[in-house]
Amino acid sequence: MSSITFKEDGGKIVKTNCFECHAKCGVLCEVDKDGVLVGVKGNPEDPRSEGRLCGKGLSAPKILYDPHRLNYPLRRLGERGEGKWEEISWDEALDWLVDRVQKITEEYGAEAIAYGQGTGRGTNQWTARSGNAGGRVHHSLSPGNICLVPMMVQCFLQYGMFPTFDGCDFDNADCIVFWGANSVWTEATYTSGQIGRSRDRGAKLIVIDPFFEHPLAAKADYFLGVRPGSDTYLAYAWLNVIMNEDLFDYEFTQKYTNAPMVLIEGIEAPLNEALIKEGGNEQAMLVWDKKSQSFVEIHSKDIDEDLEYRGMVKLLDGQEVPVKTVWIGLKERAAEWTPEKAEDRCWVSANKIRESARAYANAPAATINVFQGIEEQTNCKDSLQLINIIIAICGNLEKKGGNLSMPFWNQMGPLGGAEPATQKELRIIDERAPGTVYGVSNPSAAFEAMRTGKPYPLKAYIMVQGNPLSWSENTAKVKESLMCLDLLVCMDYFMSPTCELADLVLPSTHWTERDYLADEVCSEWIFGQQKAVDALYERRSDVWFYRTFGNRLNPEWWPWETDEELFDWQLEQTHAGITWPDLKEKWIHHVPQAPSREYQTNGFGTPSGRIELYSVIELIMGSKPFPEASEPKESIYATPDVAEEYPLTGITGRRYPTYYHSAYRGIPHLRELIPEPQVIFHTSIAKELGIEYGEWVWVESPTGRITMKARPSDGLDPRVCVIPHGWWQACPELGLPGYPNGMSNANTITSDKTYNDEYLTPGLRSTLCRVVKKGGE
Amino acid sequence: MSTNTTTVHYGMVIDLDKCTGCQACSVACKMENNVELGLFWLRVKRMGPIGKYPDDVEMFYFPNQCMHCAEPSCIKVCPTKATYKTEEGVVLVDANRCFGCEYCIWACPYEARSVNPKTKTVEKCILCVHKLEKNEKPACAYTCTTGCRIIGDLNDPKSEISQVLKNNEDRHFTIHSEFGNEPSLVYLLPRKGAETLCKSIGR
Amino acid sequence: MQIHWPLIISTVCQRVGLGAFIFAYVASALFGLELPMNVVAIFTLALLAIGGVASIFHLKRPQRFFNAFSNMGSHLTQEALITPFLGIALLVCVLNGLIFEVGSATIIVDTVTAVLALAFLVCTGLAYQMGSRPAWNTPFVLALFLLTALEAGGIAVLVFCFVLNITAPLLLIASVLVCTAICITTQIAYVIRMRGVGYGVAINAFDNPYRFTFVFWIISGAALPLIGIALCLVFVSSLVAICSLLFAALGIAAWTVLFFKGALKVKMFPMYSVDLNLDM
Repeated sequence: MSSITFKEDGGKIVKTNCFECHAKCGVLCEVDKDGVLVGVKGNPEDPRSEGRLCGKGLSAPKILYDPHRLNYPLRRLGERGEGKWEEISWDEALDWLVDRVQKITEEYGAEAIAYGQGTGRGTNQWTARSGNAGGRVHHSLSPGNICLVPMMVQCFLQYGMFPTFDGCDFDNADCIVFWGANSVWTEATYTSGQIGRSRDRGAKLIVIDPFFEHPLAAKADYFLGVRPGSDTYLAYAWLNVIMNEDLFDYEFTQKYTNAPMVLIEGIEAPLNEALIKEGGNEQAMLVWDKKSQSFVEIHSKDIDEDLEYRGMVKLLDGQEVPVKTVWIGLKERAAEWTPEKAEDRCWVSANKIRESARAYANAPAATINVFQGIEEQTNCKDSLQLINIIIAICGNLEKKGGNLSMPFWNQMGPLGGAEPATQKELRIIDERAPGTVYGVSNPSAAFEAMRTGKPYPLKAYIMVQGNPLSWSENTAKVKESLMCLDLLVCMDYFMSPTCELADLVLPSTHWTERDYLADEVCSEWIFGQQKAVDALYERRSDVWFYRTFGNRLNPEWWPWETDEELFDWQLEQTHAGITWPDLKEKWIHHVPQAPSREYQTNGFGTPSGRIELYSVIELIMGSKPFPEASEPKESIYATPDVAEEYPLTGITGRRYPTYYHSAYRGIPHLRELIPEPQVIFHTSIAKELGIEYGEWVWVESPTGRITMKARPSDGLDPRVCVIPHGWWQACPELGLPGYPNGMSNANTITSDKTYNDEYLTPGLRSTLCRVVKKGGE
Repeated sequence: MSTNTTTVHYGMVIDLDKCTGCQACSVACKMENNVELGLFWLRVKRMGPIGKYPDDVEMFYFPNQCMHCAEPSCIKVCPTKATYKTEEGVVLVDANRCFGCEYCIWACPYEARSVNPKTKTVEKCILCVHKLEKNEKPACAYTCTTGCRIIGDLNDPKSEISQVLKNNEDRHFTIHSEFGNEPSLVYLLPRKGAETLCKSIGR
Repeated sequence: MQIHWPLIISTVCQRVGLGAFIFAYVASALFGLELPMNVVAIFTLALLAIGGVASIFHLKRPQRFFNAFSNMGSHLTQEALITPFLGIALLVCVLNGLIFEVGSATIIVDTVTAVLALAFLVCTGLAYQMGSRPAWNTPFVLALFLLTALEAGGIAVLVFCFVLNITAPLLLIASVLVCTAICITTQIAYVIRMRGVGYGVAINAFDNPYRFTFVFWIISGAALPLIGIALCLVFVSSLVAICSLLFAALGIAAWTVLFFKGALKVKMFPMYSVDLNLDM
């Protein structure tokens, strides 16, 4: 059946996919005979969303035709940020831009240019490719460090796949866990319906979140109101229960994880074959085979791995060293974190920790959905690794009702192009965090380079759909940095605060006016995301810009003459098994599954072919192979002196169901649902400070202060507060103001002092802060 | 939906155990029916969170719209007969008759009605009758991200809505049934998070 | 609920006007008071006209006023239907003796008019008595519409007596005082009832935003009329009577403001101490 149905009255219905967020739900766009988009509704043929569609997607016509959209390329006149522009043609814009880029490259080198985005509109790979093209240094001034990279990469390292996002099999699970994730609001259409069905048939629900206003918290069989950033303790306590009560999946753990791998005690490095056998392979990790009573290589078949092997081993150099398995190493660590001990740190009762751990581990199939509540922490690597371990040892990987691999994630790599050789040496990091795993520049250090020229000048910043004045921590510093640039280019829907500072502002097409592929976060499918209407004004698609601009700079990396050619190349690279014309016609296409779906035969895509509880790659990268029960670098326990002044642990980044990060406060019928930024803190604190509901208050941290309306709530710990992000845009139709200069921007108060060592992640979800009554400071 | 020839009585079940307050229905209603800014024919409200954190807190979402009562108090008070009920049980307002006296707004126990400042007449949820006529679901039920809304014929024991009601007999709840309005919107009580409510009605 | 001023003006006018006619009618029957009913009828008709205009202002689309006659089951339609008959009856009363004489039929005309006036007030009272507003969901509402009419009507009759130099029997003045006292007592009872009418509606009239209105009513609607009527027992003063009537009318208006303010909606979930919220 064709993806376009023509109607008798001259109108048409176009099957495509929404992109008001990454869920990319299948939609039916109704276009009238004059080519006007009159309505958008869910397409029941999308096997994920089954016709459901959220408020953002439904608003597409309003967003498409919003009078405040950017419509023409604008070049700065006057001082930076003065707001004076001239409309120019795309040709002129591209000529000017290419010229500027070439001049800056000649003068300062390619590393002086950063490429970036925000959450992106499906263009992660093209942002990366722009940076990598022709050996450029990819500073990736994108928020990958706070979004997706930590959880995705940690999964790749341990699993060789990424099953904790769109791979959650909610429909078949017997136990569903939301851990620092609220996907029923952020990707509502392919989560909520499935979860409702599963709960109707008796599936258990566990919500681990500091905020009882999580839409599922009240419904959950177990609500674990964890202290922000203390997930490591909770996870270890879960492991403690699961391991000590033998609730894990013994066979899966023994056969398909590296739990039986033998480590040298003390240094906790793998005992490799070269250490004990002349001419042995130092890449070969060993397990103790109970059948042959010998050490055998971990890939060996038909063995009976000993999970609990412990003994002395004589090395080739004559030394005798004690060895133990990864399993024992993990168990020893978990033994320290009894639920009682964890309770003190994570503020969840020991009893509830026990019961919830049992509920998860005893479920025939259980799925854990993880996201940014875990990611945006300075200890995210440890939490993520621990959660990955829990999923694995309970045998919930690649299992119906568990966490399943999704093919796209394994195939997106080549699209961005090879990382240039200079990347590692020229990337900008500093003493705050080495970034052992995520090999890009620390965004904060890159911003600093803009200001200081150290370690080398960073002169240009080109972004498509990026608004670092909203997404980056300590935005006052970011603004200062952007003001120092020679070239700032932003392509977007609206004149964002970052656009206001730019030299060149480029108008993006809405998803309804551009052709593209919907592949990431699309589970087992790929969709032809074709346009419903022709692009309005001089708006151009993000892909068109990257391709055209890239082609002018470096035709070798950007050889495609048309967007369609590029789509075909992408489909080929991701082994989708279909071409663009066919996909456009068919709309939906099922993508071949990852080999690990049949792991019994194919194993997992890791060095050991097994799930790596102990991450060998992270050991090699200079990180810790075992997870630690680590505390966020800034917290009431880690920095009690700061906490004395700023006693609340603030969570930023909690989502709204009708906004997409900072987008769409300007769309009147969405704004009227959520008109103002509200900081949420416990009722008792309000009473203590004499603060009334709806009063404007200060929210202060050592980094800065913002103002929001007070909303006391019973739904959180008195030591925690919730600070929403993304407030900058005005809504003139409703007479509601914008919030200039970061005055209500959550990231004005988040810290740029501490970062996760592996993923360079700041602690956005556990910012020490305080609420202050206005006039009372 | 029913193709039965006996009288159809449209009703809707809203499962409060499933609703996540995502407001998709509120927006869908607005888009479908071009509802004025500032007005809501349908809006998801919330009870709570209320109680003692973390173990004794209640919270649930409550989609609020016209209940399309079988015995609507709005129709009784309306002096103009602008408000009327269709044979299929849908309560509607004839904008060509209404003169905006607002008595129906006062008489409705469900906060379902408001005056449109432009037309100066009262309006409210129409259960997307234009869609029901085409055998399609109302916009809110079509788009609901959770599947908490079931539309259908209450008179047809084989309809999905009747089946859902049958399968959840212990969770039926109509708001203020003591007023005798006999709402055609039947809510299913949350399985958790509404203990005070459940206790007060003996569940 | 928000305050609907056109309705306050119209119902106050109607109550004072119709109350005056009814009271005059009853007083003539009981005390043989010889008030010229056409003068009373002019007063009533004038107030009814003002009230009618005010109530049309309440309508968002007044040009559709004639749609009001559509629903016989609605007290508002009933009220609307009574209005023309009441108007004609009052007009006959006014013209009786001026343009024509109906003679012995006067008593019939007056009786019909009084009955229609009473029916009109009953319909108004019943219109407000609705289940969805717990404060209004009580026979108190009807009783109060009638009692306030009687109170104001009684004082108006005193005004007529004093201004037209007609001797007001002491018993008449005493009965006005009693009516006023009963009315005030009932109003107080209504206010006390508002403190807990169920469905989560519990209003203390001494709390904001009710306080000012309530205190205003106590002074203007209760204390001053009572004092005024008591003074009328002692000496004949048109000024005192007129002031008492104005204060009583203002008091009824104030009390009606309170009546609207207190008409909070039924809470959807009254078992909770808080109401539904719109926070996200």
